[in-house]
Amino acid sequence: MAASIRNNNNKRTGTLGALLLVATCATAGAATLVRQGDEFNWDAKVVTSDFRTDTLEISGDVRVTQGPMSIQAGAAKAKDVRSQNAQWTFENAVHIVTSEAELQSDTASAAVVRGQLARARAQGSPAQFAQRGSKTDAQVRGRAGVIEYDIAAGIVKLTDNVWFSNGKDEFRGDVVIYNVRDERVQINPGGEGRVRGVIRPQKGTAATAPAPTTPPPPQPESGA
Amino acid sequence: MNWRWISLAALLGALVIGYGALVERSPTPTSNNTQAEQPGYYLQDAVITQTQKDGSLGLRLIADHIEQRGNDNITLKTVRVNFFQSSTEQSAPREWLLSARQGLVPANFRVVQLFGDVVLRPADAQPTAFLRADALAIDTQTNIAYSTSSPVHVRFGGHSMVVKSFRADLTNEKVRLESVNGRFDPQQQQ
Repeated sequence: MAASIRNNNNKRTGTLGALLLVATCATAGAATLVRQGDEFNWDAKVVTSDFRTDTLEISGDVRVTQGPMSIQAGAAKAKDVRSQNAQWTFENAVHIVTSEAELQSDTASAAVVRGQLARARAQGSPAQFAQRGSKTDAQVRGRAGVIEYDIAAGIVKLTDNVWFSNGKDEFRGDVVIYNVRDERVQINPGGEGRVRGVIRPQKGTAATAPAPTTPPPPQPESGA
Repeated sequence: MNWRWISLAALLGALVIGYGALVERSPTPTSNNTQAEQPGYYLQDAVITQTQKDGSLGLRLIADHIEQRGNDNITLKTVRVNFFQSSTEQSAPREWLLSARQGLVPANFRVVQLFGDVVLRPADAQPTAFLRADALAIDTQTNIAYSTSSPVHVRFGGHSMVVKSFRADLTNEKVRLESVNGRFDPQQQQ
């Protein structure tokens, strides 16, 4: 069972929802991304290396920053640091922040491609995702065993016991793919597994909501 | 008779001169406090090698100028050192390269101090992995190199780091850096 929706329940629920959509989209559009040439900086209390294995073991308030993006953790290990495509792993209270999203997890890895932080993969019990810049009552959030974040594309993929919410509605499934820029959500896109959802109509808007001029987007089936 | 007096006078004169010469030649005790500092040796374009207990090469030191001072300290200028370490049960044989503008070897040879653009790196590691400091000391008994000034600049591949201090165990090649600020800076690779 697959479902694809947009975080635009405003189209179904009236003027207030439409304002929320505009606000959210405006924020997403203003997102500051890591740009080519942004310095990749990091600091920590202790680094150990053997000069030979191309690996740095880093511990104590590890902080990696590039442009508007930052990763904080208790410890990290950086492999292939001689190349432009290094692989970093983080552990102990990992906190990843971009201008668009925020992830928290027990462990995480991040790929550096041509000197730029390109992808992150957070694992936890559960790992947590939250979209930044949205209003509290439209806060897009998710929890899952694994959260993969394509930073350049702005796409978040949650797998393994996923809970996902747009601030009002909630969904559970095996896989959720969310585009933080156009706010499109795909739940179980492979068509396997069941989607369980709770869709809450906005109070007092049903009688006043204007009829939509375009067909509403497909709604997920609730398996609850 | 005259000849008799003349011979006697000559004999007395010879005795006096001989005694005087003997007294002149005997060592005159002098105080060390007043003795001028003995100049030490110096070497130009020197190559010094030191072997290990098993007879293998332990150290090769090349310097433009080496000078021994009166206090038995040895100063070095434009130093390049190869450290060789025999294999152990835990480690393979290793070689480290060290260079500096100046060095100071104390009389007991225990801690060698190096100053001025000091660079330390494993000989067979990537040339982009090295440690550069304004000053560094090496304990030749424990094979530990450590910083004696701060900050220290370290280059590791594409990453340049500024650290407060470091400690490198030359035996197992573990380097520990403290208070590290790193930056991925591939353009500045050596």
